[in-house]
Amino acid sequence: MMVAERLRPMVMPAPRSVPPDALAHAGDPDDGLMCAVQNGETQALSSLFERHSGPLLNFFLRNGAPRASAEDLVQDVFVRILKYRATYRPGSRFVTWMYFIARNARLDHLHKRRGEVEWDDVYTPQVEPADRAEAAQDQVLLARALQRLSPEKREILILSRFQELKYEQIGAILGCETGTVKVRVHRAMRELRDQYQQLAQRGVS
Amino acid sequence: MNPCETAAVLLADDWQHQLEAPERAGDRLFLRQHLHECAECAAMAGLWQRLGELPEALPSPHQRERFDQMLEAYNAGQAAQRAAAPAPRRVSFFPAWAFHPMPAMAAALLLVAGLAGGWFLRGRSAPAPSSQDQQIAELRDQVTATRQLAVLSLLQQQSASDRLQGVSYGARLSESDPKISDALLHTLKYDASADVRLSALDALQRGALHAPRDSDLQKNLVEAFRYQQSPLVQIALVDSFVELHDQSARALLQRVSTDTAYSPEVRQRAAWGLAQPTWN
Repeated sequence: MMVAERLRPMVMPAPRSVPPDALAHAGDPDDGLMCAVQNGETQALSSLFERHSGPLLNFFLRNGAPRASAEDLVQDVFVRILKYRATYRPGSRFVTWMYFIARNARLDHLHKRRGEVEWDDVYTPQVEPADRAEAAQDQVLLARALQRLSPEKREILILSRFQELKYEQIGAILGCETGTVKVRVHRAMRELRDQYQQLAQRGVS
Repeated sequence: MNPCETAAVLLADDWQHQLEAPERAGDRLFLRQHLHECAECAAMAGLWQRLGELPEALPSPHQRERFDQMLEAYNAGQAAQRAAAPAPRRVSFFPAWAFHPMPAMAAALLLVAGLAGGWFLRGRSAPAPSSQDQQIAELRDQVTATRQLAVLSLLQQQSASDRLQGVSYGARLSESDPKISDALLHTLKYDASADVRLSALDALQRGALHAPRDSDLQKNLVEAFRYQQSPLVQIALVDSFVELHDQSARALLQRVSTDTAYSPEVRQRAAWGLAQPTWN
């Protein structure tokens, strides 16, 4: 009973517009690995870590976490995957479930560190020396424009553009309908364009 | 719906590669033409493209090490819990308190003490040197395994006071038992309670004082520093580097003493640590 109570917040609610099997994805290697983890083969988690630690790290960095916190959060996500493995539904998309967990881990982290300034840091991409000048300037501008968006808009762009999730997957993570995600992505892009243009006009020192 | 609104809907579909289907060739053509004519929509489409070209950060190899350590500790904890779990019972013979971690551990230790007494008395009445040595060795192994199990089990408990108790028991064993030492190190890095982390550091430090040449432990303590958010634990770690004469911590202290990301108290302590004669 107590265990069930602890797990309840982690069970991903299926949005009403999505039929129960719409998130299912046959032949997903992640699904097979996660099922192995569920069956007690915890070494299968190593393969999942290999595949997803990089995208997860970038998810947290682009959402404004400093490097050390982002690495801690990646670790936290995999601890939670182990801890809550019973709540994973075999046959569903592992990535959707993982980002649901990642989002909760990030919100918990922010809640614990409320009032501290660390998440205001700007994630600036590291540009290769060969790509200097215009390209570098453009990338810095883009990264700054992204940081100027509200956390909600930034998050939805990160999920759709960088993590390359489908709108229905994002809807399942955020608890809203696919059509709503589509509208929000477009609004976020429009604001990103406006922020980018403002920064470009002002110039970045 | 004006052309820009139509294009907005189509752009959102295009970003999900939904316009690549043959039946949407018309939409694709419309969007392409509109982007030629409308600078605002074209700017947004271009921005989406360039967003995808932003460089990605690479995970450090250290992150993989942390993961492996976490998985190993998790597996060890699970194994300990499985071993400590009571067998399924149809009728409850033991009272409920017997399944709580503390009484269970006390009972286990009493049992081992009883066994030890029994072996000892039997050994006195019937000496048989070779088999006696073997029995004593077996008994020693059993005692060690029971203690190890008790400590690992306590360190996995939800309650911080149980984990503190686990650290306290573990402190007595960490010098001789690398598994306990690893579990304490894991506690120092990841435990949610600063009190438990401080206690784990104290236990590890005591172990390190008895084995001053244990460079692995010193390296691990230096590494544990970066996991700490609490200035209290950071300061305690600085003190331990000084006390252990840990040369490998010098570079870390130099960086901490000037890095404004740390609190002034921690920077001050790091500077104090560097000024100690330890480094000469």
